[in-house]
Amino acid sequence: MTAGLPGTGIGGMFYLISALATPLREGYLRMRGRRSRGWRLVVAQTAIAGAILAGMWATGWLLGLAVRASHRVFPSAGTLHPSNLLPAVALLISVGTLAFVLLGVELLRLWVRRRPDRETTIDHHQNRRAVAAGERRSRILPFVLGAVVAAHAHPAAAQGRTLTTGHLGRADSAFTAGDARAAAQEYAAVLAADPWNSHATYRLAQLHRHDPRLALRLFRRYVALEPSDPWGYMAVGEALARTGRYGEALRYYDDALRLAPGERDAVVGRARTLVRARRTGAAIAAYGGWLAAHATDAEVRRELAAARVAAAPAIKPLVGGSRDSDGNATLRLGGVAELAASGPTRLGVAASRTQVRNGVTTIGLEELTLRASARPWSALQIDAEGGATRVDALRGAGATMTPTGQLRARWRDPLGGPAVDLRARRNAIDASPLLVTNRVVRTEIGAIVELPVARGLKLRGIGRTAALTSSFDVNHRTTLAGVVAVAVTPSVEVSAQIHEIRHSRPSSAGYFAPRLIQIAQAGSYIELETARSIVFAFDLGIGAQRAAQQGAAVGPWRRALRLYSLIAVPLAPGRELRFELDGDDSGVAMESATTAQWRYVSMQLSLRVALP
Amino acid sequence: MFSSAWRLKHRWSRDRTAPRAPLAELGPLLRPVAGIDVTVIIPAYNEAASVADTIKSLQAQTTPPRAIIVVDDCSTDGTRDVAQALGVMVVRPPTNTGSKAGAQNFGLRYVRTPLTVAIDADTVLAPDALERLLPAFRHPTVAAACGFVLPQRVRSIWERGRYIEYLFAFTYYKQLQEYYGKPLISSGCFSMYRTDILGAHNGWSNRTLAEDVDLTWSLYQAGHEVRFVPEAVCYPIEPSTLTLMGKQLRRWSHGFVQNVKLHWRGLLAVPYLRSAVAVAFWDATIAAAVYLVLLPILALMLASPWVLIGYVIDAPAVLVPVLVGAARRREIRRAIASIPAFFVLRTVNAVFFLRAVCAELLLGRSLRVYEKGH
Repeated sequence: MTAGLPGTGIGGMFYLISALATPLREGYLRMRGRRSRGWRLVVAQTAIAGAILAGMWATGWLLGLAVRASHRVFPSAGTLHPSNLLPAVALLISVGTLAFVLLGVELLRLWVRRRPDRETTIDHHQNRRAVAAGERRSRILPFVLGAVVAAHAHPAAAQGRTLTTGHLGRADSAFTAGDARAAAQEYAAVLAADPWNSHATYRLAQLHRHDPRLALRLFRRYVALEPSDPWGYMAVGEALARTGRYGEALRYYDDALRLAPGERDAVVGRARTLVRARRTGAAIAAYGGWLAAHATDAEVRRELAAARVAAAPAIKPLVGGSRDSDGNATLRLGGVAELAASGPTRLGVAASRTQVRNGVTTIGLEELTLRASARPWSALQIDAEGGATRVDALRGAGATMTPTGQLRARWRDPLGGPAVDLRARRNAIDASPLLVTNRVVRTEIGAIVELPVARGLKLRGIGRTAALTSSFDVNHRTTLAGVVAVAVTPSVEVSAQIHEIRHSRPSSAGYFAPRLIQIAQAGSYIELETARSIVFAFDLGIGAQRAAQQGAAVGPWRRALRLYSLIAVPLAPGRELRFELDGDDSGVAMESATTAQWRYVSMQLSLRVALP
Repeated sequence: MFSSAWRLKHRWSRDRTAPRAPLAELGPLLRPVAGIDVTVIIPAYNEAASVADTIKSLQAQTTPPRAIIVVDDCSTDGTRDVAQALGVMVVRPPTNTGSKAGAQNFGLRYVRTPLTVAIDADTVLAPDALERLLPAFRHPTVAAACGFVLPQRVRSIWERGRYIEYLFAFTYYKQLQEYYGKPLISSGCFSMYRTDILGAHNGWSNRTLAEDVDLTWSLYQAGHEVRFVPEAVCYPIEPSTLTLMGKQLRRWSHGFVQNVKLHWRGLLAVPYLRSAVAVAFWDATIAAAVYLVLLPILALMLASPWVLIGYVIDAPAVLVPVLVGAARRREIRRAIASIPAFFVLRTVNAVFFLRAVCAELLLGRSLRVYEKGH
């Protein structure tokens, strides 16, 4: 059977793109050491796709010739543009429709996936229990029938059972031996033959912890099969907490505690979930309740101390500075004070003084902002800052005050789905005395949308628009970027990035404002954590950039390098030292750049101390 | 692993352990026979004219199957005699099962080998087809495998159209589906399955008119793999007249829509397959409507015959894979001569799919009668 219209419609486009993507996928599979279908098929299908594209182009060209010829013979006949217009329009419609259909399917998938979750939340605890009990009763009948049938068992049926038992034995042996792959295959074989096997369901879920969606589905299945086992509820709770669905996780832990009151794993698991949900006040109470009855539990005591540190007020003194290729340097001293927080919202205040100099001129800025950070839902993080920046008086000009602030909302699908990052901000640009003197202020709104298209493969779209105001002029800067990122491991990501930045006009305020900047980079993000919880993060980018001055042609490509690194060292409970280094040899990407050859490096050292 | 509670309930509410045939009934199967651990089931209803070729092609395999079971679904044309004369086991249900799936399930009761092949009674295999298909089952997660399909006869316009359609689909679309690990359908005319997994799924379901689609998508949702092995070639007899083609397209189009209705929720959890099915469904509905209705209207409204080029503008997209497939088989001339027939068949195909979508989804008139064409 061939469904649809082969060759026509969006099917043709879908398979064309599928074919063109095969080399990328093959390379990725080889890189990860996974089973692949081989280069022969890839080369053959890519060649077919290439030939189709060439054929379509030739058709368009011939069509254009035919239309032109028909115009000469029949001037009144035909109304189409004599070019590749028809194929081009067909191509555009086809690609657009395909994107629409594929996006629709993904949205439908997200919608469908959420619906059952709502239906099974333990808000309807009583109903769910009733359903579970009903399901258990409904299972009695097959068991009774099974027992009766077993008494008169046919050899074939016995063979089936033996098959299941054999798979189960092999699966348990492999699980005990630590052979996760073999165990998963055998447990899957057990479930294929006996989908009611709760033991295999639980074990398979454990083996699929790296795939939270599948693990959660299997643990839920286990709860349906074994509704009286509190460990099933704990497993679902833990899986939900790992995906950021803290409310549901807590309800599952409550269920587990109803079945097994006082069970340590349920109490501690619930408290850990409260910590993850930033409900540290409730977590401290839960830990405290457990320690009141089990005062010798050292692990819980440590976790309680950590929770108290997280909820305590904190101060963070910091010192930082930067230097660029034009001889501009900054020195920044400041600090942040955070108020005590027992819930998901944290308030604080930040103050800093920055001195900017270039060997001739020195000027200072002071900044004071109020900060609030909240997580209204587990998937949503909102950060807000509001305050003002005061620029010192210089050469007869008085001091000025500029309102500054930022509002940022980040949403990420807890199950590793799409993510959205929206940000609006207003701040003074302080990389050089000239920029400060000219009161250059950036007011920007932007969005980053991330869409996972396959396991580990993500597409990121970045869009920003900013107004750059100064004493002389107002300029507009637009940034568009596309990123294809592949998560090689959970802590390593490689990406290919294209950035395009445009300024609406030149500026004499002290920053480089070419008509167009294009940057193509390969990037990698690496995050490592040692046994002593020291975190290293590196964001590297290597590529090329080119710029076009206002009214001029695009210049040559030159190198573009960037590096951001973070080292966070926990010194003691509640004390963490952070060192950040930011270097750029693709300065045109930044508003503070002065030329296309601008280079920049900055660093910052801070110490967060939780107050007792 | 589990697509939805509904599917599980639905599956389990049925008889999970279909009664096995008493050993005494097995007759020739119990005799030690040289061959691979494969049993072939051939459902047949009035297939006396073609079943002999099917059986002979199986007996001539480079690795012959251990058993061949012809399920004579109460034929009236002597199918049973033809099959018995060739020395294979013939079983006959008490009454006509009413569908291919019913006959196949009846045959499944007699299978004692770890692998089962389902083949239509009008299909012959290339001599090495079974041998080529077997390696796909080296990996334990593979539950089914299918081969390359080409019409046995390429004479009428409909057979020629189908020839191009198959050359195109199996050289291009299906190879990509295989590369991404999700062949859309394990073809009903020739596929191999793991018997235990087939049994766990209660064999072939007759809840839709496309039992092969139903089974393939059920396997994916249960976490199994399906493979397409292009080297394993089979040759079914395709409809040679519009009447027969109409019956087949009606069954296929309704079956596809019924399966989309039945499985859509579970398919959403299967990467790539969900996109492939969505695209196929879109092309079967919206693209078919554009093809049949919008293009002529646009041509009239714009008073431009150039718009009608839309009917064949994708000819290069069709021609390239077809010629690649034909070149491998050294059938270039036959393929070029058959190309125009493809565009005729595609138009007819669009009509049937559009009708099926309207009937199944808009009017609620689900086709349930299995009408045999080819």
